[in-house]
Amino acid sequence: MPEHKVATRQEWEAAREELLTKEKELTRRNDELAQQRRELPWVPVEKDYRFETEDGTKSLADLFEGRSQLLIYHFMFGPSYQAGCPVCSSIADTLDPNAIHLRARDVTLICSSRAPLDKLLAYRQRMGWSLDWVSTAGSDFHRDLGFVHTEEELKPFLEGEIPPTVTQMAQACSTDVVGYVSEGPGLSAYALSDGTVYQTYVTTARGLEPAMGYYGLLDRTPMGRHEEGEQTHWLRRHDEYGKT
Amino acid sequence: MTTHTVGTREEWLAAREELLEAEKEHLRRGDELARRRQELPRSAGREAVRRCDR
Repeated sequence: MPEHKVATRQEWEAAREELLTKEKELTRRNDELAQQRRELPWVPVEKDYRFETEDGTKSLADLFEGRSQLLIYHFMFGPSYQAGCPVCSSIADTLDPNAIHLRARDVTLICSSRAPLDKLLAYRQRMGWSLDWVSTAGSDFHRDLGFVHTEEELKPFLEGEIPPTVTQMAQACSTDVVGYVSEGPGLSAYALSDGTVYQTYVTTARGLEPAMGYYGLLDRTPMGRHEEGEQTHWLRRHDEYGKT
Repeated sequence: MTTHTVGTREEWLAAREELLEAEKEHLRRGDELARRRQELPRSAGREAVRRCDR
């Protein structure tokens, strides 16, 4: 446990009141950003992307499943992976039970990856998710969004010192470092209006934290995330905690 | 659906870059508040404030 002050209830309440004001400011700022996200221009998606799904080959418009909005989580599960990325898996743990609530708000939420569909579905079964998962094998969908990197582009990274977490995650996916980092995680949002699909929002990296439910919760615990200085990542797939 | 502007990929990217900066700033403020939460004193009954070394 980190060093901390011990106080009376009254002293705690005074400090907490002060913090509450700042928390409210942050919440209001968050609302403003959500508004600004909705005000981004919509870009028509002109390429005719194809997706392999459990119900056969589909277009991007088909993926809306009759709703007007689509959210896609770009799950790192590349062609050379034997299992999905553990961090993306923790994200899918957050996404999976939320899909039904989003449907009630006219939003379809799915995952997409570059590995073949049968690999994705077998892994989905292992993890116990029911989220729709599509394969973009053979399509430039992830590449065009910036979530696929070529070996040439990765050269400076690969020639440097590889962070232990990257090696750890590559091993967890039974692939090599190049195979692992060729994929990138992301979230993209689309609108379907008068038969046209528009891209409205794309994010990656820490922009994905709203889909990492445990971080928001850890931020409210006494020790917080306390990840500083850790050489490897503490996250595991939910069926791998307690295993070596 | 509310009204919206339609733009080119370049226009979207420029607007998105600007928003990204605001999103990053917001994340940093969130980190700062998480840190401040951890620094809140811990209430232990009616004890007076004292520094706890462990």
